[in-house]
Amino acid sequence: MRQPLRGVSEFSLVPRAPHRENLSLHVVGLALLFLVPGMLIATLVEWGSATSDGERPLLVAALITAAVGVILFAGFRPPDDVRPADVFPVVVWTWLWCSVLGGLPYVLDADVFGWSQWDSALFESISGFTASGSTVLTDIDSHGRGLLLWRQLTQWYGGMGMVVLAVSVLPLLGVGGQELMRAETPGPESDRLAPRISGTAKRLWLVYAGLTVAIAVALFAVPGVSLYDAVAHALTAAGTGGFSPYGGSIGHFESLGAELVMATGMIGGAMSFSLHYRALRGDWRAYGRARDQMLFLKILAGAAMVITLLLWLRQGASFGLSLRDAFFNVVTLATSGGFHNIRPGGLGDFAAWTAPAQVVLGVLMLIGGGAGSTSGGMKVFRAQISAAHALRTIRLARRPRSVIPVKLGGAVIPESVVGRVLGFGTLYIMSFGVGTLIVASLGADPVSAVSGVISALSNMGPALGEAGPSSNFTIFARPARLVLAGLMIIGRLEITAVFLGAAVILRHVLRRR
Amino acid sequence: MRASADPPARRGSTGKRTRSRASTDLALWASGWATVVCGLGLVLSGLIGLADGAGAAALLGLGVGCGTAAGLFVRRAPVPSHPPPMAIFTAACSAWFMMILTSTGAYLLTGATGSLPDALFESVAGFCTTNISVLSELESLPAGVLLWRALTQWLGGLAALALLAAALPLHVPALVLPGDSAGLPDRASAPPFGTQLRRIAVVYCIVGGLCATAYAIAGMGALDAFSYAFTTVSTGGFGNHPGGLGYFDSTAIESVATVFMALAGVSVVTLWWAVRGRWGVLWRSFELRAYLLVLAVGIAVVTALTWSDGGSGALRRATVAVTAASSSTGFEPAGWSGWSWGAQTLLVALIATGGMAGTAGGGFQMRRAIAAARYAYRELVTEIHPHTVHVVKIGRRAVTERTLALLNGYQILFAVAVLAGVFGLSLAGMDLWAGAGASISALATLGPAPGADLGALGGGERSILAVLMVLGRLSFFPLVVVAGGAVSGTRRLLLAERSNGPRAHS
Repeated sequence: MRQPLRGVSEFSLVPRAPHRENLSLHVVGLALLFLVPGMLIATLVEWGSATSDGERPLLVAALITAAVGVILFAGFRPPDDVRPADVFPVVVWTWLWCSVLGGLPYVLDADVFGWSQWDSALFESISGFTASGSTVLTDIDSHGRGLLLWRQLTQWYGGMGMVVLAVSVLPLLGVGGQELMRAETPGPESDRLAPRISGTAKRLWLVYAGLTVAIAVALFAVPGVSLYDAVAHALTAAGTGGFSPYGGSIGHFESLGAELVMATGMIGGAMSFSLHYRALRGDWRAYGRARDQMLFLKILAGAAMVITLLLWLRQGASFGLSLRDAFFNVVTLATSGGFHNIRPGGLGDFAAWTAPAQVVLGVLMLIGGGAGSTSGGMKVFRAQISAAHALRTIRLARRPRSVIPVKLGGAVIPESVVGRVLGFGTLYIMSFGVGTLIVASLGADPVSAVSGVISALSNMGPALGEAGPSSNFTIFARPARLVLAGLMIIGRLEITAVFLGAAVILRHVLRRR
Repeated sequence: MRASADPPARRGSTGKRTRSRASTDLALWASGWATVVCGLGLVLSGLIGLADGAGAAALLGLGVGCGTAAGLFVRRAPVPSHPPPMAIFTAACSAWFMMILTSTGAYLLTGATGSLPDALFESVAGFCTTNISVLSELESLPAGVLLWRALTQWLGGLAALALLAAALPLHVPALVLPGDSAGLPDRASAPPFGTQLRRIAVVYCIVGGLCATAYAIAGMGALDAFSYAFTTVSTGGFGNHPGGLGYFDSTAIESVATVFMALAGVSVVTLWWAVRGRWGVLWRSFELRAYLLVLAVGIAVVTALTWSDGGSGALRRATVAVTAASSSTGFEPAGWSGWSWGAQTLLVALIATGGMAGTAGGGFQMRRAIAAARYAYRELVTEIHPHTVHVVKIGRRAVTERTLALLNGYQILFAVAVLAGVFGLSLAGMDLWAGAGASISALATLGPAPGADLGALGGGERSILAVLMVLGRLSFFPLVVVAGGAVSGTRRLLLAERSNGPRAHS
């Protein structure tokens, strides 16, 4: 088998072999290069738009990103031996660099944020790449179509993950690829779809792209939806992001058809892409075998029914209207989509719903979607294991000497997996507690603070209270927004990767000193 | 306590019958003793009540009647020597039930309230050491009733500690984790139940006596001093006057309350070693250091966050509020609903965390929080070094895997109960923040919560809060296990009937 020259790959633009070993910066460089086509497409759209002339900031941002990407990718080579601890800084650095350079179009354009509001630009960029959908952009409709398309594209990139994208093409990662995938992919375990991990990553991205195209086509078929709208919304529906080029989000269309297409797309995005791949290969029963995915659908149906009844009985809305708005908003919150459908005569503003309905929405935000999907939250699989463990605890309290395994659907779950899930739960609660205390101390009311932190950790988008769908995250103080942005990255990388990445980076820094 | 000679447990239905018998015997014994102790408390309250006459006869009559009847019964009740956990849990639930029933009768007979739901709720709040009161015009109540009301919290705290001692040897570590040298003893070195109970009672009485004396020196009358001492050391929070400690408007009284609230949040075992003169144990206790650190940081942060509201008085208010919240003593700080959002959120977080394990207080408790944090750290390390064996320790003692499993289960149950409480309270009409605060506060057996007006509770709200209080007071497991056992027993009976039915017919 032909061995590639060290540090020289087919994507390298510099023929000389680099000398410095740094896996993180090498992968960061590649991930940044992937952003460039997106920025260029956005530039072209902006250039072709008759209503705005913001193509220059986008083009400059693309050039800077390309230059940094080339320098990092070609200037650093991966080490020969990749240890498990090395992958976590890779993921953290990749997300940070992509977020910083992805925010360049916002700061380079003085009409958007400008340099004086670099923190808002960073927030918007992080919210995009983490597929959260929380925004601090005001008067969204007034901005250029190209810039708004870039905003949508950040969520599409982040939905499946930049590192997964890098793994899909990096020929060098035979050792750390699986760990890298696991560190970034939402869910407890990443599923292998091909013998090589790069093959798995490629297939996941292909399914993701296919889902995006399918949503775009379906949305374009809805009367009143233009091609631009269809593509822009498909990008964020597949990634369960939540950004929209309109301030009114899906409510802008005032169309039941658009809501149904988006809801279906979000459900597709919140279910395992491995299952989608298997279904496309003809194994449709794979959905039925995945109990957590089926439970996710049942949770959606149950929550929609409960909220429909609450809206119908307690808010006096008609049953049909209650069902329509309950279903759309349950889907958008449970899948961590983050769209809203506020429209005249509707009930789209879920922050104004009756309190019990908001509690149900909060629980849905916490649980999130299925494992191996683009959705956020704890994931249904973890909720199932946690519930099974709680039941086991009660039995253990009754019979202290018994040995009781945790079972799901008749299968015994290994204690290592249970331990990992419970450790994740503890870290989630701690992140939530610390985040809430900081955000509330910075002046946010408790409901906005609690729901804002849950929303950030679950990569949801809008929150409750003052940060509801009819408002945005500008209600939080500027330092609080940075905290929330940090929580978005923590939530997107499922906590562990961020803590470990930060610890490894810190250790390297201290060792150098 | 007269232990009966238990036959060895046998397999099959005979073994089950033996366990069921043990469960019934222990439940009768525990509820009998609980009634006797309540009777003594009622008699004491009746004697104090003789001063103003009102309600004294009813208290004395009920106390003597209940105490004598239960005392005669307890003398003959057999007690299993090694009861299974289910028997202990059933006994705990039945003892609490009997105490609540007796107290309800006392409130109704003395005319403190004419409403059965009010009397029942007040009793539940009392024995759960939670400061949610539905009695209006406290100052018009007779002295005997006020003392009995304070005694319910004192007895509730003592009963909670007794349950702790009873459950520990049977290894229910989610209730209390095995201790280091400064905490509770582990199963192997745990002294017998009677010895533990005696030590607990000694510490509890000494601290209570010192507290009453200090209150009296600080300027309280005798009745107030004893009543407030009972509710301070039990982390209850009932008062004889509206407005909590703010009624006295005395720095000395607030200082005494702060010191004894902080002491009430310290493990009774740690206090026992301190009483015995082994002061080094105090310093070696990691949990105690963590508790004191949380208190100090909490006071500093709340002072800083409320400085603009009250200047130099902020430190005084913050000290009382943080100590009350951390020890889950329900003395409501005046005007805390108007404090900054950060201060309110921090107080709710402190309420949820609670004090040390092995106290009469509630909440998640410091020992569990430390173990949970170390467990999470262990899982993080395992991600990088999958083949290492990493033992979770508190102080110098390793925490067993079973204990950690139970701890995690407790954490999940706690979170689920909070969420269910918020949902229920919001259904009953509370807004989200008030519902969240009240739910956490009731579960932590504190009572008041910032943002929640608990002055005029509806029937639905009371029911939900009562369930949360009992769950928090009994640390979930007794009630959940007994309820689960009852449900599964009923289902088995129904299934047996269904399977027997056609056969009998044929």
